[in-house]
Amino acid sequence: MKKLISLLWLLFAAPAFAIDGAALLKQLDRKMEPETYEMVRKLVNIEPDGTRKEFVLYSVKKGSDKIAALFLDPASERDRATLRLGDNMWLYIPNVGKPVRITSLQSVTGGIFNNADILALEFSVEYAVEKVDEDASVYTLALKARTGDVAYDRLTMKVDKKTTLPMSIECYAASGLLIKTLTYKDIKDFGGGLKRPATLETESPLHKGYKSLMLYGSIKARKVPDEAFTLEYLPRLKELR
Amino acid sequence: MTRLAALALAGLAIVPSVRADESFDAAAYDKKAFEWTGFVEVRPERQWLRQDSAGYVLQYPGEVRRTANRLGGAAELSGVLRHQSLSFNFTGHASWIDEPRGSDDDSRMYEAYGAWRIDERNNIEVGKRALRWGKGYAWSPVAFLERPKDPTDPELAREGFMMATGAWVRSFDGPVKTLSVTAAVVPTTSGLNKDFGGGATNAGHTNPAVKVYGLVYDTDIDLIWAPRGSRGSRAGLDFSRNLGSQFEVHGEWARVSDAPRVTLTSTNALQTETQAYSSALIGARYLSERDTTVIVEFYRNGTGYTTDELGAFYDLVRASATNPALAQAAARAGAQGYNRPNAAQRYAYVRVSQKEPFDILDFTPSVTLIANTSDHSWSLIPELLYTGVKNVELRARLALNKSDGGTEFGERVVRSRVELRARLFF
Repeated sequence: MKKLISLLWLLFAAPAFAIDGAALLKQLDRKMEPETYEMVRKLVNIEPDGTRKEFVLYSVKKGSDKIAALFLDPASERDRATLRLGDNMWLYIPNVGKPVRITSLQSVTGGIFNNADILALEFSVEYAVEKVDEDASVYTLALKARTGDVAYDRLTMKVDKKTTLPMSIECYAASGLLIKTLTYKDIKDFGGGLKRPATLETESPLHKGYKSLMLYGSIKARKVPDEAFTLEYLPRLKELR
Repeated sequence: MTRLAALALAGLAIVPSVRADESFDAAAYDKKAFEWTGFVEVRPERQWLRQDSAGYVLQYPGEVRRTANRLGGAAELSGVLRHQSLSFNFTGHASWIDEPRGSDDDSRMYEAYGAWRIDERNNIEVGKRALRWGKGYAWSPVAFLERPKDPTDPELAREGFMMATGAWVRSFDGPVKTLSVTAAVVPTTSGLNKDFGGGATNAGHTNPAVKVYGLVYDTDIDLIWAPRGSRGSRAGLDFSRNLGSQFEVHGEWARVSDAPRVTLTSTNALQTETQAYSSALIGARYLSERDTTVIVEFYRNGTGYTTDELGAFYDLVRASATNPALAQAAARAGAQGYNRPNAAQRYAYVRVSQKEPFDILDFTPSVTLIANTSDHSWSLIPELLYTGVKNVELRARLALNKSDGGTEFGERVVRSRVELRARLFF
C-alpha cells in the first residue's frame, strides 16, 4: 500500500518538477518579441495631478546583446539615441555631436523611466529562473539577475499558462525592497504571428500616485546588420527606420 | 454632498487618470522625406564687473561701469531631406545680443552637407560638417578638425568646417567587437575654411586626417593622425571604458608638431616660436545609487601659457589703461592667443549633478567648478535645470569667478553673473 501511495504521489507530483523554468522563460521571450526586431512604442508618465509626459521611441534589437533606441518625440528629445552592446552603453545627443559612453545605470531622459525600461534585453538573457510555482492557470517564476548591472535584482513574474505571456512582474532591489510592479494588458495581434500585450502599466511604491505606461505601436521582425549597432552608426540611427 | 465632491476630487488628484482608450498610432512616426526640428531661446543676463581686472580694460576701455545687463536670443533649425540612400542635412543658427556696447546679430550655417549612405557599413559625406572627435567632456585635445568647445557649456552646438569624409565600419565576434575607419579632408583656400588655417597666407592645403576606432575588450579606443597641412602634423589617441556599472574612465593624448606659439618679449613685442607640444586629458564619470553624477577631468594644454607668461600679459593690459601707446600691443597679444578661452597650461573640471532631488520630477540642479590648477584661480557655476513642461527647458545659472589679481579667473572682466535661459523646442 505504501508503495502504491508513493507511486501515485510521484505520478501527480512529477509534472510540477518537470517544468523547465529556463525553457519557459525563453518561450515567453519569443512570444513577446522576435529575436531581431524593430519596434515603435510610446512611454507615458502620468503624475498625480493627471499631467502627462509622453515620449515616442524607435528601437531596434538583434540577438541577445545588441539594442539601440532613438527618441522620435517630443521635440526636446528628438534624435537623442542610445546604444547597448553587451555591458557597454553610449548616449548620443545631437547638439553634443558624438556618442558619449555612459554607465549602464545612467538615465537617458527625465521622468521615472530608466534604462531597464528603454534598453531591456530579453528576460532569459538578464535573469536566471530560481523557482517555478504553478496553480491551475498561472505560473509564478522567481527570477534572479545574472549580473549586478541589471536594474532589478529579483523579479516575481506571473505567467498565463494558456498563452505563456506575462501578466504581471514585481521588481525587487537586492535589499528586498519592492521597486515597481508591471502589469501587462491588451493582447494585440502585431502580425507575423506575434500576439502579445500592447500595454505595460507601471506603478511604484517609491513614487506613490505616479504611473507610467508603455504603449506598443508596432513590433516587426527585421534583419539588421551588426554594423547598425556601432558608435559610427549611432548618429545615423534615424535613417534605419 | 460638498464633502463627497471634495473627496472625489481628492481621489482624482491622487490616482492618475489612465484613459480607457489609450491607443498609439505608430504609423504617424514613419520616416518622412523631409523632417525638421529646432528651438528658440531667450537669455537675459546680469553681470557684476571687476573694474581693476585686465579683462575690464580690454572690454570697457575708458568707461566706468560696475554692472552690465545683456539680453540674448537665438534660434536653431535642423533638418534632413531624403531621397533613397541620399540625404541633405543642415543646421542653421541665428543669434542676437544687446549689451552695453551695443547690439549685434549673427546668422550662419553650422552644418550643411550631403550624405550618401551606401549601406550600413559605408558612408560618404560632403559639405559643411561638425565632426566631434575625442572622449573628453569639457576639453578634447584630439579634436583636430573642429572649433574648441566652451567648457562652461560643452553641450552647445558649434560651427563645422567644409570637408569631405568617408567612413567604413565592421562588426566582429570576439575581443574586437567593432572596427571603423573615418577619413576626412578639410581643404583650405583663400576663401574656404579660413578659420582652419586658410586665408591669404596659408591656403592651398587639403588637410587630410584619419581616425581608426576599435571597441577592444569593451574599451573604446581611437587612433587619430593628421599630416602637416595648414597646421603642423598631429597624432593622438583616446580611450573610454566602464569599470563596473557606475564608473567610467576616459582619456586623451595629442602630439602637435610645428605648432606656432605667440609670446610677449620683455619689450612687449610679439614673437612666434614653432615647436612640438603634447596635450593630455584624463577623466572619469561616476553615477551614485541616488542618481548623482560626478564628472571629473584634468587637462594639460601643451600650447598654453605659464602663469608668468599670463601675468606679463595682464601687466601689459593694465599698463595700457594709462599708457595708450601700449593699447595696440595689448589688443594684438590678446587676439593672437593670450585672451583665448583656456589659455593656460593646467586645468581641472568637476561637475556634480543630482537628478530629481526630493522627488521633484524633471528637475536637475548641478554645480560645476573649472579651475586653473597652476595659479589656483577658479570659476564656480551652480545651475538649476527644469524640463517639466513639454518642449520647454528652463535653466538658471550663477557664475562666480574668484581669485586674486594676476590670475586667469581673477583677471576676468566678470566677477559674477546670473543668467536665465528659456528654450522652446519645436
